[in-house]
Amino acid sequence: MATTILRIEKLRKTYPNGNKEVLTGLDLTIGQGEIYGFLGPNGAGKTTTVNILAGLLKQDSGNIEIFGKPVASDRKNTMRRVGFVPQSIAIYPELTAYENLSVFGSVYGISRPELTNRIGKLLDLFGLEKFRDKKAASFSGGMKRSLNLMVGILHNPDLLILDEPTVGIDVQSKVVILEYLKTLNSHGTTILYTSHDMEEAEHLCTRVGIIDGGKLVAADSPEALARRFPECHDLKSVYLELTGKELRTMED
Amino acid sequence: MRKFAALLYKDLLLLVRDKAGLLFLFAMPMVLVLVMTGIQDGAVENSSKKTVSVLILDKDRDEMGREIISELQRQDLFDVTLADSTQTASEVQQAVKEGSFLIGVYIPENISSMVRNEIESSLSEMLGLGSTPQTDTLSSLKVFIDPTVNNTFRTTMMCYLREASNHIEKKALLSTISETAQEFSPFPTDSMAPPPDLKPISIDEIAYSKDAFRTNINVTEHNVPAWTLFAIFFIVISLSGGIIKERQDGSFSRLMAMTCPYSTYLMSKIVVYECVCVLQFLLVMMMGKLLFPLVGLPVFSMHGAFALCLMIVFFCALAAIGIGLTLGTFASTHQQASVLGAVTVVVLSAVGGIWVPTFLMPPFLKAVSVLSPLNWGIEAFYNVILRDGGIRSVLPNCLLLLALTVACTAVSIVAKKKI
Repeated sequence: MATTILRIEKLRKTYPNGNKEVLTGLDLTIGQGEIYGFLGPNGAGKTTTVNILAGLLKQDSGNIEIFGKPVASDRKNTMRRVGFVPQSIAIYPELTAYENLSVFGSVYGISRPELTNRIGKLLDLFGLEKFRDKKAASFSGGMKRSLNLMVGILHNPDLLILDEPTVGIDVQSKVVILEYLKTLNSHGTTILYTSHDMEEAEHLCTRVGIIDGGKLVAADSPEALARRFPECHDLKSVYLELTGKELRTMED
Repeated sequence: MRKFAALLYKDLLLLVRDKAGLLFLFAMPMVLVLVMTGIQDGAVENSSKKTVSVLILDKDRDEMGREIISELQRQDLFDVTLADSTQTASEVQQAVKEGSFLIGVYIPENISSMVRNEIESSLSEMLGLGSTPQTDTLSSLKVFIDPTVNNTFRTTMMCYLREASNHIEKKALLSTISETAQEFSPFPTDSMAPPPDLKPISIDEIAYSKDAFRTNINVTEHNVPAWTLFAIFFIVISLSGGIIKERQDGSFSRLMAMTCPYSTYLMSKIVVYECVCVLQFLLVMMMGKLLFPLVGLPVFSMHGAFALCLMIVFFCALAAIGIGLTLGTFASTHQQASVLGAVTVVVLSAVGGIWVPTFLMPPFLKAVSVLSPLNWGIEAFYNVILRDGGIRSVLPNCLLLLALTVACTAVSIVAKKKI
């Protein structure tokens, strides 16, 4: 197996004032070069896991190792090699595309000439070059999602964590984003991404993990999972087989 | 440092791009100071120029009547009309009741001679010279006052009447003593001087101030610092709103995920809003200096204490920023922060003596006022502008403001870790 990039062991989390444990001993391992689809119904614990990985939440117990080192021991240096793209469009609408990238790039610590160079390349790659001096508030949903992604990859991370990066955008923008993720992966970036879109995950991911009730219920390549359940013809039916067909709420 | 510079750049851009916010931050204090100073200056001018119509019915036609009439006529405050001697007290009362005059004064017949007789009788009894014939009960002066008359005018009128009657009593006493002394004197009576007219004790009003010519605060000296402070503290709404917005749209989480220290995040906001507050003050100060004289208002002067005023503004701004950070940390929505922020600032300013000077407040509120950071600020300004205070006079209040800032920032950092 490839070098382990991310290892999560027995992760547990209950929110303050919450009466239900969201993560109930999650174990997860992602190898170098993988595009790992982290799938699960609402309230399964995907975003909680991602937020813990990003350092926005603290787990109650359990260990997380990134690049072979416990995150807690050197979070600052570890996170310099990690890109985080949250589910919400976390950019400043009042700033232009260039200013957004410039501000976040400087916070990453990228030098000015290097930053200017990278911003130019990314804007060009995502077709936003001619909108570089337009305020993000005037962008379409797809353009905003692209900018949201660009901020997360400005510093060329070795591990990219994306929380539903393609939710609510048009097909064209989705294609651009997914194609870019594949390119990024082909250059060595390991990707962990969450989604509700099974087709997208099947198309993009080298491996998927299905989480339900705060722990992983299955993890393998989409093809291997389909083989494990002969009556299922695709990832979507495997997913429904494992997580059930009843509606979920966040409280569930 | 790069992170700090990036955040500073971001916060400056966010501030500059928010045109409505800028208008609120910079136009509001200028409008407030101009309007409040204009209103208060008008009120002060009006009340000082206003005269009260007084109708006097002098039935005495003797010393007391003459003294009261001449005393009241000397005052610019009163517009005196003398009633026809055929009129009665009830007619004077009726004139006031109908609103023809605001004050009516009835000086009863023979009141001067009654005062003299009373004094003679008392003195004779005191000196054991036998009792003089019993005088009639002393008549009293009657003053009819319209209920709308301001308390200040009412008190002033009563003081003048009291002073006039005291003067008459004093003169009568001296005259009686003189006459009695002449009766018992072994020397020829014509060698004695007439009773002197005693000079009143003079009272010089000297307010503790830098400027020897000024005896009290003008509206500009209160309003410019007071409403600038109010505006400075109003930044809590803009600041807390910005923090909440960043938290809600996820950009704050993103910065934190980039391991951006929370203290750096706060520091950039502190620097930006500190600049805003200093600018607010400079703008209002310039307005007080340049615009006020053009619209007939007193010029704002810091009496050479610009540096100290700037220092006070600096610490007040820090305290306001501290409150804003705390509010931004604890409030969950922009609406919450706006309402809570506005109410907090209005209450703190009202209690702190921004709207009404603290000496006019009831004892309970006066005691509470020292807890308001706006009170620390305005008192520091008074110390510098009016009381000739140096750095030592403002240092305690500046330290209080700094302590509040440190406490608020610490609470925000600790709370953020828990959240």
